[in-house]
Amino acid sequence: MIRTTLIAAPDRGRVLAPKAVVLGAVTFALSGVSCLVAVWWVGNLRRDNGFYIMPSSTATQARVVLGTAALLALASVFALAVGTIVRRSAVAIATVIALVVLPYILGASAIGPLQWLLRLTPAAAFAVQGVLHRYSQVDAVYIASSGYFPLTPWVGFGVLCLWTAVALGLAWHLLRRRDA
Amino acid sequence: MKLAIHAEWTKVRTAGGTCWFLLAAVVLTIALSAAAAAGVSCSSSACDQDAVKISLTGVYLGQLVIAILAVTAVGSEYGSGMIRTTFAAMPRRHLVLVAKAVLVCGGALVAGVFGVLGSVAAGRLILPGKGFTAAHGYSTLSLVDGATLRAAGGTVLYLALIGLLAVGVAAITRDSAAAIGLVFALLFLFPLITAAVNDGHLQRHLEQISPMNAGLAIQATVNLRGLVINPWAGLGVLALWALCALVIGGATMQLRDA
Repeated sequence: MIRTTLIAAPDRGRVLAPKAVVLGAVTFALSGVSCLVAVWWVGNLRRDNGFYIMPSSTATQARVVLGTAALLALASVFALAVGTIVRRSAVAIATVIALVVLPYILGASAIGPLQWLLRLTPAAAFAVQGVLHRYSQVDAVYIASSGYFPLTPWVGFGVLCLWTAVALGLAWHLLRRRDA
Repeated sequence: MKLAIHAEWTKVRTAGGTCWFLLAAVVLTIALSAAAAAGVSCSSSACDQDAVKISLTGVYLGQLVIAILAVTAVGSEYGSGMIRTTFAAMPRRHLVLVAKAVLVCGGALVAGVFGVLGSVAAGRLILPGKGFTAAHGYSTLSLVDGATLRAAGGTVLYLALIGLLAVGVAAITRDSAAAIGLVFALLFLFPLITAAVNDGHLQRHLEQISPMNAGLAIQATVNLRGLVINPWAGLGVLALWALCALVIGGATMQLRDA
């Protein structure tokens, strides 16, 4: 099918960009709605079960919801780029999961050097979900799985942006250069 | 059966990617293990870390490559339509699945042995420099030690079982992309959900039935009483998952159109 697509749109750069835009927009919309429902519903559920919910401002909650939606949208565009680069769906899916999900699993409950995984890999973007503050005078377990990420929200998100930009650039270059 | 294995062997041998996947599994396993060993430190006799488990961390990456290999062994035939030729030549379809499972298992065992030996060697070289010394209660990593041998051998078996699980799942989904997504969901969703749940009992049960958490219990060499599941029982849980996937995959392969 890609051969038909590329015959219909010989300017191959113009094939990748609309794919990225449509994929990103649809993912953002869908995950935005589900994040909103999840935050509202799970928050109420936990409150009803007697959990104390740390207070956070509306702006922070909006950042968490929109940030998570943007994280998923960007991750899908990243996956599109990886798919274009490797051209095999199983390898592409495995690579993206190895880069986005695995570092979170390895780094989230780690103390020490494994936390660097949440600074360097695309999984750094999970920092947009960070709400809690670190206090230097409080001796707590500052790990990602309890809500303390090594990077500030937007810096973490920027790491994913960087990965996506590089992958898209490489995908664009390879799509133009290679045979289909 | 011999014929089925021979036919599958020809496919595996002549398909370009196989060698590279096995090599990648070995290299990535050793690389992540070495990185994990280089990243830890132990400054006192109470650092409470499992040196063997740390030096086998690489299996987290190695298993992904084995899963790709296993999934494409089944899924690529469905993708290209080759599976119809295969079934025409081999009408007893379950033999095809068994042959594929045997070869994937063999490949995973070979890659696993090299990956694990390299990882243990890396741990043996790196960990003493990081404070894992006799003074802090750690002996040099050696496969002569019973627990270390169990952890290392069990990790090889773990990789083989992950391969079998992925073959079964791919036979169920008939599509590489869907299969790899499903396998990774089985592996990774359990730890993610476990981290989010804060009911101790539920956490414990989730870890006991999770293919990855339970299966990797085989790597533990210290604090065995604190484990949610006994090492060999944990590997058994993963074996059950793999068996279920293979049986369902075999049955659907037999019942459905190709």
